[in-house]
Amino acid sequence: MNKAVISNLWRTVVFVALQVLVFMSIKISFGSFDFIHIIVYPIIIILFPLNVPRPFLIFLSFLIGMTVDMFYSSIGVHASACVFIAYIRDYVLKYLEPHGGYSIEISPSSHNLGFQWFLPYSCFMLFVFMLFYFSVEAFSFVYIFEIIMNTISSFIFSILFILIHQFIFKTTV
Amino acid sequence: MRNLIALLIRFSSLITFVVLEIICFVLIVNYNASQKDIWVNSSNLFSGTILEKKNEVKSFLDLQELNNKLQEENALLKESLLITKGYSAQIEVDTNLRYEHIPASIFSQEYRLRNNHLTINKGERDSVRVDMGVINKDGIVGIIKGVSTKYSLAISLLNTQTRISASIKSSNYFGNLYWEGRDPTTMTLESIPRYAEVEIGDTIVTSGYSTIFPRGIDVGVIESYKIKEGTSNLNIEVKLSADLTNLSTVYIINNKDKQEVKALQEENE
Repeated sequence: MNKAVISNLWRTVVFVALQVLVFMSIKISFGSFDFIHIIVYPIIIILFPLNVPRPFLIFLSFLIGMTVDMFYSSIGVHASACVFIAYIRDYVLKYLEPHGGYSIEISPSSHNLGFQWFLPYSCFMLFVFMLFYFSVEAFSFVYIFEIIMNTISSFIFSILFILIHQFIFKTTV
Repeated sequence: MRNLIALLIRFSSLITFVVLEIICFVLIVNYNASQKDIWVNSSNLFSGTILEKKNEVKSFLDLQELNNKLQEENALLKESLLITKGYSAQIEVDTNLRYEHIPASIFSQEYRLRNNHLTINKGERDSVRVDMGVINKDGIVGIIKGVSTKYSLAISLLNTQTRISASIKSSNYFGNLYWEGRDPTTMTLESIPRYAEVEIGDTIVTSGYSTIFPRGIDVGVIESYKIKEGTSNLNIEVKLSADLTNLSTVYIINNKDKQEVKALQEENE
């Protein structure tokens, strides 16, 4: 097993564990404002190396999502959002491709591609994840207000954790 | 074949994506209560509208059948009502058990002539016979005068030849009801003795003294009365309870003992 596989496997285990053991039980609410859910594990999908075949990435995301779902007891909700951002990741990467192109094996992290590149990429991916996740959770656009409130407030708190992680740890692969 | 494989490889991400999302949504809907509720309700909203439309069309097509069923049911209810009435009045038990109701529809009627007739969609094969009474839900309507296999002809109450034995419900004085040939809403009850206590608004019912109508079927209410000149009898104007200008569903009354009664009467004449 090469370094990339071990590194990603390790990251997957750690972030899924963090999500279901720590962040799942954190409840931040200001009075009746009860819309903050910290969801950081999509960083696994965000940071997957670029040379992972796309169908494989989608399938892995599905498995990660299902694992988280088992703890959230919301079978399929996280998985569907994971599958969705795994699918659109390629298009986002193509859109944000730097002039020199990507060097094929690296992980699209802040350390490898620069914070200025990483910020819009991770923000977009996480925001789409949140929007998709809360839409599926509500399952009806009757709750459009709750969906938007949840998405925005959860996004702000979650992206903070992801960016802090990128400052502290230098993700190479 | 190679093209197909190439195509599959090209769209492998899309296929994986679509398949996994479908699996996700199937799981979501099957294993999550709130999403399941929303799914069931929304799909019910959709399928419910379509099913409702279908039902509307179907019920419209089935109206005739439904109507027939209701008529039959009504006939049964009317019969049992007569029986119950009979029980409450004790004496009428025997008499009213003899009557059977045959549901029927009027498909031709007249009320502007002096001698009006009704055509009814039940005939000999439905055991309709001459001299049966015809009523609807409000009161009496006419008497069968001619029968063919499928149809029958009734003389309406609005016929100058009609004579019906009717009585005042509260006092049991009885007389002959006939039509003077003008107003399709009123008939005249004659030969009520002048000392009878008559009040405007009293109910007139069939007397039950003929074999045509059972006792106690509504005819109408008293509108006015006056003493007939040169006699000691009252002439009572009766406002009919059945609207004879607008008939659709009727019941033909079959007196099962009619033959027996008639034979007895003829024997002793």
